[in-house]
Amino acid sequence: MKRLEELNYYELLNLDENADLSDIQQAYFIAVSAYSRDSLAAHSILSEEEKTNMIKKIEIAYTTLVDKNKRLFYDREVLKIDAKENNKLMPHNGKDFAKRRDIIVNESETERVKNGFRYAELAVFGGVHLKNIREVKGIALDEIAQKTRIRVSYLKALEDENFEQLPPEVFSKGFLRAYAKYIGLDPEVVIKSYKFSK
Amino acid sequence: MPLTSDYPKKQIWAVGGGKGGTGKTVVAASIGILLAKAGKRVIMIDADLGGANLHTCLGIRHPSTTIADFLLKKVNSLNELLLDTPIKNLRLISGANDFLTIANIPFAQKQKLMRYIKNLDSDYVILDLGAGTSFNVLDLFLMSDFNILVAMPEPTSVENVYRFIKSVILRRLNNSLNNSRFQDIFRLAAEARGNESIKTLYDLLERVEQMDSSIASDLKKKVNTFSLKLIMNQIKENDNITLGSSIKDITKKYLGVDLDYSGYIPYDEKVSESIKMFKPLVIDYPNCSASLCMNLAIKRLLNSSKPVNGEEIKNEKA
Repeated sequence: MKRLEELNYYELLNLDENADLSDIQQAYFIAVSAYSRDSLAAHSILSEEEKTNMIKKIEIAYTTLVDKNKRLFYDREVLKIDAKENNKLMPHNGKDFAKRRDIIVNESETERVKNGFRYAELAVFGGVHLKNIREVKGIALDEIAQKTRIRVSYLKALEDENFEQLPPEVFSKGFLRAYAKYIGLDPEVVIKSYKFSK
Repeated sequence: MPLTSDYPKKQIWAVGGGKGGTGKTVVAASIGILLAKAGKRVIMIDADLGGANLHTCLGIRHPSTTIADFLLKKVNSLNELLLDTPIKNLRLISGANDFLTIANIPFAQKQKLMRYIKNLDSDYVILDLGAGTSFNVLDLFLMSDFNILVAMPEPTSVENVYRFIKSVILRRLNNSLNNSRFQDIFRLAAEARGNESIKTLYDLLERVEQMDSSIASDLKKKVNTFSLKLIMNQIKENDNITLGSSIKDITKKYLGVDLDYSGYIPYDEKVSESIKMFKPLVIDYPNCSASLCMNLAIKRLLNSSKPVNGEEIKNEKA
């Protein structure tokens, strides 16, 4: 039993961590059909709001997992799965699978670090992603607020990308840096990809 | 068709699902017949105490004895009620179709009935349950090793499936609490909710946790070791065949219960034809689409994990 907020992207889509691209697409199709507005399966049990929220979660999970680089980053930084041990480098399972796995297995430590950095650079962090990562890790906003001495309302505004409620960017960046660090992400990477305007 | 099972012990399979008219009885009859045809000794029990008609689906017009004879103490054991059917290896305990009061048997009688069901000598016992979520239905469902739900692609049926799952899991938790103090805690947790409804079991278990963490952990175990099977019946051409998977997903995420989707049975005119002719579907039309899918569903059921659900009822507050 896991709470909805604790589900990672794979669990949200009922996927194995080794899922290939076609698995992900199929899972996405099934998930969207389960939570769409006129879903028969959701009849009587889910409110409109619950359906909309779930669809949002599914979209984020899907767009992360189908993007090779975002997925790698998510696996490494959030789930702490070592890409060396599975096929994270190629979401496409296929004939060249075994061949390419060899490449990863032989990947040297320095290359891996270098690649990790490159993927990290490419990763996009919006407020929803940060929120999801925080929730998957089971960290409450209150906890971050206590430790970083940043008001909960600011942290929440960062996650909601509610820029009107945030102080000028130069201060907000500081908040974001502290927040990212606290949830175990590289602050510089997060700062680079977070957009402080709509 | 090879049907094999690795479980030497007798298995009790229950077929339920809340709503009437979804085809529970035809599905249950087909399961029993296909297991019998695979060489297993099968006893089918029409446990639809208020609206029995399993005998009709098995080709028996007028059953000479019914479960009412047991409940009214005309016979001493269920063994005396076993009727032979046109199918080899398959015997039937027919339901009581002429006693209106029998649908609401008292607690002690239900206990006795369940004890006798457990003692039947057979490879499989299949219970065809009635509609609704009465304690009788839920307890017969819960005493089984395999819990199969039958639903069809209509809002009313989907609604009732969720209602049934919620009722059955609450009943399972309630039955697992074996003294009145625990039951009080459980009731308080269930009632202390103000106007908001308890959507997931978490909310409930969290409240129990605040009162007593060891009880909460026992209850969590009870949830984690429970699993249900779902068969979608009467699927028509334009229906969404991912419906079963969707129900499975929602049940897991929002009710916290594992539900295994065992397959779907297409809508098939042959089903009603076979009933009108008093001929079992999978015998008379073994190659119609419904029968073929029934075979697939049973294979899936047999291949799914070892049953763990059967439980004793320790006490009850009815």
